[in-house]
Amino acid sequence: MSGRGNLSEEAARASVPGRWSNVLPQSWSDYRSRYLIPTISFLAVVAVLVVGGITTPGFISQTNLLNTVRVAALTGIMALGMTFITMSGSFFSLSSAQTGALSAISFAAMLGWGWGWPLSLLATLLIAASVGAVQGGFVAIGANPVVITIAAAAAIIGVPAIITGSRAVIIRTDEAEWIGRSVFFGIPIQSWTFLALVVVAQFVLVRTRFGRAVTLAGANRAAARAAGLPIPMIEVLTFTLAALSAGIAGVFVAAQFKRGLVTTFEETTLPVIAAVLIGGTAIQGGDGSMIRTAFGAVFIVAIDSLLVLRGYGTGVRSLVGGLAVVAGVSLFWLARGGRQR
Amino acid sequence: MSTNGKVRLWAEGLSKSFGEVVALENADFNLRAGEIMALVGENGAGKSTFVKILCGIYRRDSGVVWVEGETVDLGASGRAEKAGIAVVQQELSVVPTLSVAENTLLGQPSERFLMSKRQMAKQAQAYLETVDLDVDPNRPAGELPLAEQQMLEIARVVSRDAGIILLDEPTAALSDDDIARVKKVVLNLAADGRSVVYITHRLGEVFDLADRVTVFRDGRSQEPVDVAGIDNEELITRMLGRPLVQMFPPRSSGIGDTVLEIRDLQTQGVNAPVSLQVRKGEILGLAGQLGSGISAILRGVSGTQPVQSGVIEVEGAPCEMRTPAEAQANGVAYCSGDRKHDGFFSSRRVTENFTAPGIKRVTPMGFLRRRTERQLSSTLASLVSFDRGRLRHRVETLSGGNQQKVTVGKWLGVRPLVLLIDEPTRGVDVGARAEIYRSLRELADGGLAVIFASSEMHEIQGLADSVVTFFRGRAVSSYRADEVDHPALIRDITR
Repeated sequence: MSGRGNLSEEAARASVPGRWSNVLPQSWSDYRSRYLIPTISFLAVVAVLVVGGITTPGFISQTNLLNTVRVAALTGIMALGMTFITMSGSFFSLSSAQTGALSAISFAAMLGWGWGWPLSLLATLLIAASVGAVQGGFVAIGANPVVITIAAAAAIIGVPAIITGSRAVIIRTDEAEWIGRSVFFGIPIQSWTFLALVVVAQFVLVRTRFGRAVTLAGANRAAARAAGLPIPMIEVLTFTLAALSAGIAGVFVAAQFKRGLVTTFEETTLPVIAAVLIGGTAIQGGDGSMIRTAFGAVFIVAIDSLLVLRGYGTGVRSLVGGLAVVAGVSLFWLARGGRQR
Repeated sequence: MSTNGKVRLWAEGLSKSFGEVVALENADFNLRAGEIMALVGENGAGKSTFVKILCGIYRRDSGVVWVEGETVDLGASGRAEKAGIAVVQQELSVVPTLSVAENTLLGQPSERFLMSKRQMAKQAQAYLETVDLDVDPNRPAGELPLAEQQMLEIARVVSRDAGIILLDEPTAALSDDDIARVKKVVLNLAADGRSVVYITHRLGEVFDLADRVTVFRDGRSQEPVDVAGIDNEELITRMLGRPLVQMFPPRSSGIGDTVLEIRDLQTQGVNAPVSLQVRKGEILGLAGQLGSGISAILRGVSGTQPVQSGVIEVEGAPCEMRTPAEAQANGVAYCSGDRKHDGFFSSRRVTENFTAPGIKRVTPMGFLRRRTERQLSSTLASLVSFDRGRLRHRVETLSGGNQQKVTVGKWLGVRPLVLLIDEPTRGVDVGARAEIYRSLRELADGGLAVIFASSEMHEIQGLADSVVTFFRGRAVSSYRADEVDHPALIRDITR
């Protein structure tokens, strides 16, 4: 902006609905319906970082930030996949953590069999995707997603637990170490992947036929079916994507710690769900965004890391995590217009 | 009924906006003791907003409400109840798993902590009698037919001892016999000295029931008038702000070859095999009351409910239609009578709704083209005379008439051969109704075959080219619509 001369021209441009009319808010209510929730998510993350930085020595240290960003990336990647399920109106998958663990074990085992990292990676992701597709298939023929994924969680973790005897599968070669430990420009590979996946997932959600179908299926399942949208295919694909994202997280963890373990992602499912909800995705579906889910993941992990640094135990951390979800969901409900809807 | 009783409810300067949308602007209202006040207006005129303010669902932006001379706050539903205001909402809120008695006394503080089934039934019985509802109080309320559930709701309101009762379109989904029952109950309520606000789209009911009528238009109120002093035409003029030149568009002569033929169709709700056919450019009306099977036929043909037997041919070729998607692939589109349930995506924008069935056209290779999407939705909007300035609004902010336009218009995106519509104007006001009729006729003139099911015989007579009447799951007879008279239709569908 160079000076006063442009003001009238800008005003004129603003009054004509041009290309920016889709981006710039037209009024407070327009702002509220489109940007208020992202703003809240963003400010919440900033607040945690600022408060944490001021009050807690070591929170803004390089090692801690690096670790937080890495963990947030893993939670975030899984949450992106989960967001597809939530958006489509099928609530959540409760087997993400187990799918991640299965993937970590598979990847470690395949490397041990001398398959080489490219083949092991591909095969692992294929297994994860198939596990998701099967669950999606059951949901497609009418099973309740929560029940199916709880059952699947138990089954998924059972098989490798029997085979490995619940012992860690150690990776003895160094060929895949880079997958878990590379750092580019000071930021871990996990976070770069996460960033890339946020962009891809958001594009898929808002700019593809599949993404639109997912959104509409969540907005009104009956109307989506009546409109001829392929609901069964949507179910299978969303659960496949969720499992695939868990598979990616599993590979990262296995590569980073050089082992696959049944308990790899223990207690990760809830933070993943929390990330989706704190990101402001409507729990009944039809309204949400991948970018917001990403903020949700960073927020939940940053808070947790802050509490760890301050020496709180799992009890407090779990309590705060739960309260954050309640606060976030209530806030977003109000932001959407509360009971006016 | 006394029409000059003292004023019981007085509202002045009520306003309410939702973001940019002004739903109610400076509306005034008054209601006397023991009178029936009809409240009419087009969809979006502010009637429902007004009701929701009075019962505490919405908080008003400005304005004052007096009940019995005292100002009341009405900020929450409990306060409306304390002020003696009770509402029977448009959507029934009977709890299907609770008994009739429990439903009647729901939310009412009981005299004692515990009540036996018998005591409850006895207490409920008194209220049920006031609405002429003779059913076993211990039956689950969900088993009652729709009309009796409606009575039950009224009984519940009566049990609250409310002096002011608001009925929001109580007859919208009822058959003629049941409407008569509801009317009788409403007259009884007024005779008891209660004041009734009766909201309706059926203008005939205004003249049958009401003492005075208040007309809302574009969110503003008009002075109430005595019903005795006006006629139907003037009422419509007051609602629209202009005389309604023509409700139904002229019929056309250009009817072509048979597009859809149904032979010996049997499906749940139909008691004898049904055979029908509809031609290119023709509007076929299926006339019947609730439970006559007309809705079931449309559901069966559209793949929404399973078909036991029968042949469906589109342009001479037999088709399997087991799902809506299959019907759509064969050129058959279907709008159910319950648009809230499966007609639109309320939290999404109008544009996305318009392009939902025809999504492939705006996502070549699977990728969304926003420009194509804007163009398609804008085209569809003009086909159903939907205001293009509102394409970015969410559907939940639209009035019933506009929602119906979106519900119907979205189907045109798949260029169907046949359009099936169940109750095309249920809950739609006079002005939007005429627009919907005109759109349907224009679409038919463009070569579409239309089958609609309706329980309103004026609509059947005015819109259809041919008519088939139904009673209790059987076809009665068929007519050319310009030959049939109203009494014959009524006789057929009521027997």
